[in-house]
Amino acid sequence: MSTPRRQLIEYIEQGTIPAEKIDTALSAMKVTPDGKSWRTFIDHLLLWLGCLALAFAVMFFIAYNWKDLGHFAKFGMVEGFIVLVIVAYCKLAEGTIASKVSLLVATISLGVLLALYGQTYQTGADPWQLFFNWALLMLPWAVIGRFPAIWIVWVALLNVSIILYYLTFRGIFGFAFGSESGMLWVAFLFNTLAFVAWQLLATTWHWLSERWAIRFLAIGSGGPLTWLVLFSIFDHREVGGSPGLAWLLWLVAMYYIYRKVKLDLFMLAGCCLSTIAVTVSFLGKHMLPHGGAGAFLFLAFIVIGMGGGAALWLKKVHQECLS
Amino acid sequence: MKNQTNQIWALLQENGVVQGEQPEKGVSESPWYVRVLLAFSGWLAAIFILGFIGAAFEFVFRHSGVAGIVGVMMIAGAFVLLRIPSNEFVEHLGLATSMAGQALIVYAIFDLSDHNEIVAWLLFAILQATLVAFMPNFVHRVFSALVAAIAFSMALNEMKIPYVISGLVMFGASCCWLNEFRYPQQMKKIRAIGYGLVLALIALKGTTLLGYKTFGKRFSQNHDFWAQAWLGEIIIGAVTVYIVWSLLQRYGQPMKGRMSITTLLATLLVCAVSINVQGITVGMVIVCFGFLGANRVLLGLGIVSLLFYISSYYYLLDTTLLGKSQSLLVVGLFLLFVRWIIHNIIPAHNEVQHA
Repeated sequence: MSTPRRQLIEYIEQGTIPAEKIDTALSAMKVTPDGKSWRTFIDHLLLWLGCLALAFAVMFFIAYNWKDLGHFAKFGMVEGFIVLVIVAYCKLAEGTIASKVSLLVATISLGVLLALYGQTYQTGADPWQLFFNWALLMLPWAVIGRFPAIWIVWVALLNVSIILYYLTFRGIFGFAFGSESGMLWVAFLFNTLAFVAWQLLATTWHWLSERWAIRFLAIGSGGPLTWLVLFSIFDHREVGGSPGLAWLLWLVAMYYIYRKVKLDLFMLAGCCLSTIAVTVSFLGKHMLPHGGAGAFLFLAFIVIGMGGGAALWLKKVHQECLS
Repeated sequence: MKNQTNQIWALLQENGVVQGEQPEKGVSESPWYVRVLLAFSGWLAAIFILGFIGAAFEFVFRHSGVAGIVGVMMIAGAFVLLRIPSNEFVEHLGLATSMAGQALIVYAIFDLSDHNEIVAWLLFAILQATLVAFMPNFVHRVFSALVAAIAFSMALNEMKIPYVISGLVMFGASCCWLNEFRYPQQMKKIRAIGYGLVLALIALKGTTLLGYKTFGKRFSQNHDFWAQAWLGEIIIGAVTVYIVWSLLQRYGQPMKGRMSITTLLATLLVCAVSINVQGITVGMVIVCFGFLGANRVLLGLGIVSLLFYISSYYYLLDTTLLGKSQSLLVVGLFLLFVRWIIHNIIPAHNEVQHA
């Protein structure tokens, strides 16, 4: 958790490193990049941005309401672009940034192709099907790509299709979960499954252990559940299932895993945030209508107490981790 | 973790930066998400404190003068609280009290300024800038720097100079991040202001993109020099060139050398071709700030803002999708062309290896 940058900042603030030697320290610890690192960085930045700009250019071009362009030309253009990008992927050395970028651009272009297909032939398909089919068809590329960003796109597409499915057929989920909470339940269950699977697979495939991706999935799991609990506090008739119980179990599991098994301060901080939001909402709902000024003051102190307690605990865990 | 700290110390010793035994471990800086938690609970508590004042002392909200006096007293109280070292509860109380006090002062300023919004926003920006300078708390400084920049942008909006703010804020942020380690005694303050200005920059650029039509409508008939959208992009371009020039100087590249001229020219052209795809230059600069100091938070913010800007470009209503597609095509091809030039024209050995 302590990076060379953070460590150096601590030494500089303590006065351990004299002012005239700060530049040497920054270079020695590679906090300040050297010329070679700058070159690699700029190379990657230009490649990423350039390719993303091209992929979005194709997307916007097709989205434009063309009247003079025939079906053949439109399909030819998108398919040609996809073939070009895939050929580039095959030609490039495996595992390089360029090959990964090509695959991601191909993935985005696949969505454009599916949208164009739906638009041209007026298939009558619901919007959720576009995203679901997109996720389904890109799966082989995600498998061969071994690249976390593509898998996160896959998870995001399935989340979008869940939301759109719910918006189209809100009654279908209703039989199992009540009414509007159905979407949140399905999103929570899917993201939790993805989160657990990702963590387990990361022990075998190390390319999956990118911290940002795991955190993203954790937010995808905890966010809808916290929202469900808040929903149940403010309008309990609208919520099916037992979000409170699921939330408590989720908190216990997160605490056990990320405090006892594999320390991760980000996950613990997320749990604290969720706990503060739920507790304050619960107390606010029951106290504010009748409590008057005293209730406001009490809630202010509750928030300060919980926030301060959480920060104190997290800092203690952080120091423990550093030592 | 102890091993890693030992390795860092050993490496510093090898390079003659430090001598002797490793000092005792001090209190480390909290990670960014702990600070976000702190800011969130401070903000939430401030709302309840305001609710308490409104319910118990209704007259405070009836007289703006009283609200202003109470607000100043609360900020003074928060200043005293925040000076108490290393007490989480007191720190939270200080943050919440200050935020509630600021809300009361804002109410008083807007009421007393007789709805002269330019004066009100400028006074609010000055208040926040004062708090940045004097409040002895990192989270408070980030918050105040962010709010000061936004208040100043609102004042400029009212003065019908809406587009120059992003360039000004970017210049402020560049002063902070290019000189992060230059003044060891002020490092924490510089970092806090830097984060606040970067957050403000992302928010302001995003608002300009999403609210482009609103601004466009409001100012489209205005032919004043200072009310033109392209002026903002030109200032951003100029600041970007300044940043690259500063970096080249820092790395000891001669200004008349092939490397410096090519880099500055490429930067200028990147800014010029991306003038229509707003936000791209800003996002790239934030990513560069992050890379310059191995700062992962800034890198993350830069990447997220780039993805946001390029996606929200779709919703810009004053250009057709065909026009946007052409702009993106030019940007994409040009960026890849610059990459090709770096690979084929600028030899790798031309670079100075250390700062």
